Amino acid sequence: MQSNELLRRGVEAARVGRRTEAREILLRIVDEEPRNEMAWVWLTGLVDGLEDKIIACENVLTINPGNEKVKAYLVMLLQQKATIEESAHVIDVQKLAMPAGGQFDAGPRLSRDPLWEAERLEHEGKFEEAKRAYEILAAKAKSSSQFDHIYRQIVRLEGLQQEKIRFVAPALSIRRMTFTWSLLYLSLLFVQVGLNPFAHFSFLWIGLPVVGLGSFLLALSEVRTRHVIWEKIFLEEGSGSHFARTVLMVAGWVFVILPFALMILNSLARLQHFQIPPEPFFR
Amino acid sequence: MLPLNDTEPNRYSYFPIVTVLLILVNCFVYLLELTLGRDDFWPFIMKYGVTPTLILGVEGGGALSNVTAMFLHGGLLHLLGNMLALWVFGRRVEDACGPWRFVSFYLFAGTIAHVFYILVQHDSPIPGIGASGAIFGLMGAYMLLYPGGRIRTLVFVSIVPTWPRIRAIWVVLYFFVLQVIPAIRILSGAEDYSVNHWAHLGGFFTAIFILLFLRPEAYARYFSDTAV
Repeated sequence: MQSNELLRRGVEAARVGRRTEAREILLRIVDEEPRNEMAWVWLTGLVDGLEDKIIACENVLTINPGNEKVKAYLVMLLQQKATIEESAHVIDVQKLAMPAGGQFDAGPRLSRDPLWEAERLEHEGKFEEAKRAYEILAAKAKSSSQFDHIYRQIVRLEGLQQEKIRFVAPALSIRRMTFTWSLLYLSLLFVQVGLNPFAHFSFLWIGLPVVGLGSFLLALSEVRTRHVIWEKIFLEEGSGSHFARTVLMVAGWVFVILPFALMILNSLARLQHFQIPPEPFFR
Repeated sequence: MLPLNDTEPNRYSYFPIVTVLLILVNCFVYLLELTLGRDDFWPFIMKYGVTPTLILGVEGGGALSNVTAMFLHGGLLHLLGNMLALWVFGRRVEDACGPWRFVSFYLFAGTIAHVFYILVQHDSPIPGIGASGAIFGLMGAYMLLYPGGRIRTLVFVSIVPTWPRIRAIWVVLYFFVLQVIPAIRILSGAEDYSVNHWAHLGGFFTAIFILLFLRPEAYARYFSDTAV
């Protein structure tokens, strides 16, 4: 489909209030045609996060520095951001509107799932911002079940704030959760080799780092945080898109299950040659 | 003293899917055991139970038998007692871990329980079966995570049954202490092998690893002086 036709559909959807559909269409356009000014202009009003709005505005101004409306909108957004961060720095509109060297800033990729974005903020310990994001989402909820889900998240976050729950760094959570399947594999391995790893060295030991890697990937796909994997493998910044996380989760399960499956096959092979001893006399 | 139910609600999930599935699988396997003839029972238990001499001799099913042994039971009371405890203590531990990490912890606790049995009774030719090692792991984990939780417990005062809500820490400690003396007697060779007390203690000690298996929010709560 031509980008003009897509743009027309996107704009139409935005005008009648189908924001999610409009956003998806316009994101498709800018993925294929990153310098489409009109698509970016519409996206400034359709993306949910403040950061994403700023990026969209910056991209418009990179393509067309003379767009006064977007420039004014960007000033307003930056002021909002400054208020949120409670920082007193002066906003240099010209400098912020034009990225260094006039280069087009295609990233970070915009979040396609606002709910995911809110969860990410929560996982980064930004409870207040996450709550605000959930509140915005609740106002835009399309169904009562969606509203209920988001409302539960808000109540839960308020509970966390009231109970003064400590923030645990995502890196610690990932390290901790990496142990789960590895510990199980290690314990089963000891039983498999007769509790003496030196007397019965087995190829199954190679599975231990593989399970560790799988556990790590599973933990990373669950704990939303910035990580080099998102940049290097998926060419994304931030805490990974829904797609990237799903891919990582599937890979994690494959790495975890494979060594366990090999161990089971090894056990089954041993059982086939097993001579059952006679029943002993009980004391 | 017989724990009947955990009276506190779940925090993170609505339905303890893994706990219920484990109970169903255990019951199904028991029904399967009942279909075996008398001559088939011993080979079945030898194949799928944990026998220290076989494990140490790298014979038999090894890791697979270690897992299958957790689903075998020697009688209806054995099964019912274990499943009741699994329901009482497993539900909220699963809630704090999430289903997959709960499975992992359950199997890990059961395996370490068997390792204790193998180490202490290394010359035993008798296969160990039952979910109790893993369940003692859950009991220990429950005590660490919810020491203030209350368990509806059946207690007989003389011959009169009562069912007060007792603090989890006392219920778990009661069952722990019940294991210690027979376990010591096993070491001195004075106790029968019919109940695997060392496996119970082994499972109980794995509870200290539960912090690795918690979901991030439950972990944060644990270190925030508030209920997990």
